[in-house]
Amino acid sequence: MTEIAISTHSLTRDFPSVRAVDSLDLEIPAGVVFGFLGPNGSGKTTTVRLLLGLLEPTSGRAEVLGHDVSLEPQAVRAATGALMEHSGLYERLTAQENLEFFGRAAGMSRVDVKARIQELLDPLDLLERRGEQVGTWSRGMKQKLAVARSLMHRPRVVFLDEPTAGLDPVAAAGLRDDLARLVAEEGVTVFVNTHHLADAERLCHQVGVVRDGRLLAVGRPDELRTATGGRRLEIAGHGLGGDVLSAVRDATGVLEVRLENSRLVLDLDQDVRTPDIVRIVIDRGGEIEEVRRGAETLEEAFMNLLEASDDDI
Amino acid sequence: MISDIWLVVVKEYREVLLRQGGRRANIFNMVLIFAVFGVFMPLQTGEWWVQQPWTPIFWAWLPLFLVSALVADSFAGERERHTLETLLTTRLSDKAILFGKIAAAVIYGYGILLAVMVVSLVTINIAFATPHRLLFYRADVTLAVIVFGFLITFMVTVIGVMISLKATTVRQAGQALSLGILALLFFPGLIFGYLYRVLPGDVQTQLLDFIEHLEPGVVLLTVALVFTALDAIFLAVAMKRFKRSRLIDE
Ligand SMILES: Nc1ncnc2c1ncn2[C@@H]1O[C@H](COP(=O)(O)OP(=O)(O)OP(=O)(O)O)[C@@H](O)[C@H]1O
Ligand SMILES: [Mg+2]
Repeated sequence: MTEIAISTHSLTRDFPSVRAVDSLDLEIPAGVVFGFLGPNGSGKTTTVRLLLGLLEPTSGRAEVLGHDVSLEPQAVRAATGALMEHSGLYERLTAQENLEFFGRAAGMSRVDVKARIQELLDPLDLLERRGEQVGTWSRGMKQKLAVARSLMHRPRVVFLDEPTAGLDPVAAAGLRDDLARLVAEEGVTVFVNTHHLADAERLCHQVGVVRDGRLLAVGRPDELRTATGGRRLEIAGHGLGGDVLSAVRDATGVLEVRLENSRLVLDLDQDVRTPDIVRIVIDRGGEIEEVRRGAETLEEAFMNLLEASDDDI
Repeated sequence: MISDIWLVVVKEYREVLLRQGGRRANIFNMVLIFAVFGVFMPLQTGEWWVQQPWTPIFWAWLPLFLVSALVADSFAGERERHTLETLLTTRLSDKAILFGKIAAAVIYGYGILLAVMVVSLVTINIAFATPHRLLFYRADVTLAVIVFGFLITFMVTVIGVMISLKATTVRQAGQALSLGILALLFFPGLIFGYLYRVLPGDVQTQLLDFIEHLEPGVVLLTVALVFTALDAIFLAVAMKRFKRSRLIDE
């Protein structure tokens, strides 16, 4: 049986004017990188605060590493790391002083703190600059340092609230690579809030999509992509016009076909099989380079989900 | 627990005293305090500096102004610079964080008070002592400064930390705290003066008579006990108010 690192049971949090988290049920196995995906104001930050015991749930409960977050919040915080909306670094202190403070605050020994600083900062290219005041650093450097800080005491679970927010695309991609490497090396369970689908695609084994505090879907990124875009088929290649196009259009279950830049884009009934369509194309002399079923990107899948939830209302 | 508190104290000093507006400004302030209160004023006052009984009143307000910068920054500063929430995600207990903030200011204000006392004594002795007769503060005055200096520093610190807990900016906390200190310094006198004036003439004379015949030791002891009780009450209130979930909630 796999160990469950984070679980919530009908977790709900009300604010005077809004229900920020609405009967959330999650079960996240240890070692998994879980992406919590949702638009602004969907309750991602509130969920993390609840899981860290920084806010009291209105109803329901949650457990992190077997500790109930309302009953043993300190045990939860001791075993977890967090990078919240702000980097939370002391800008007047040096990078080293920051890591020392948080390491010691987590109960690490001086010797251990020193070794760990070396271990974390070296691959991030920050070791040489550890004596500089953090306030003088670029946002990208600060964010890398904040990630290191959240992992300082080797937590078993780490919460990251939009770690790439405010970074330019290059810095964001760099941070994603660093995160992916750290997560793999440390074997830590990660709960990452984001509305950057690139974060989710690059990092996450599992994603949950949330909207207005409600969970819309959970699954692997590729599962979500197919589940939400399963009626779409794209075929790239040569000679797909004319004969091929009209034959495909006449095939059963094909709702719509169009040719975009020498790609066939089809909308299908859910039960149409990809090989049947491919056979029609080949029979008519089409040459196929690539076939893809499902939404093109997680982004598209995400938008599809949000649109579907709009339809429900 | 003690080491957690100390960790917060050291962090406060590094952040607020050593780096704010450059370490130089703070060193300059410090030198100024010692030059004025440790050297200049004792020299001006002469031997009387160590003999007169009013020294405690003079000393009492010194730490108030020393702690106010640290205390105003304690929580409002963390909030303003967006470090509060991250601090709250650590293993540190509510008590370790709160007591660390309080201890940082009390140790700083009270420590400087005692240090200035010692420095001014050295000044007095260098300037006025003869080989046969070293000068020293009166014993009762020394005791009063040590006791009241601590009690008052502690009280202002705890009140200031509570103000800082509520304030959104350091500036706001600083302003509220300055008003608070003024009130603390002047209200008791004003209220007493007012009450005194509205009393009938014969009661006034009786009151004056009563005050004149009070045993100074008894008065000081009573006041010290009252202050201790107030300190304990304020600390209890601060502990009740400092709850993680409340800090994020508003
Ligand atoms: N302390 C608070 N008091 C009142 N309302 C709050 C508070 N915190 C959050 N909310 C409300 O709860 C809802 C969810 O907010 P939350 O910050 O959790 O969303 P989010 O998914 O993190 O959004 P973003 O992507 O913008 O960070 C919002 O409507 C927000 O206004
Ligand atoms: Mg958020």
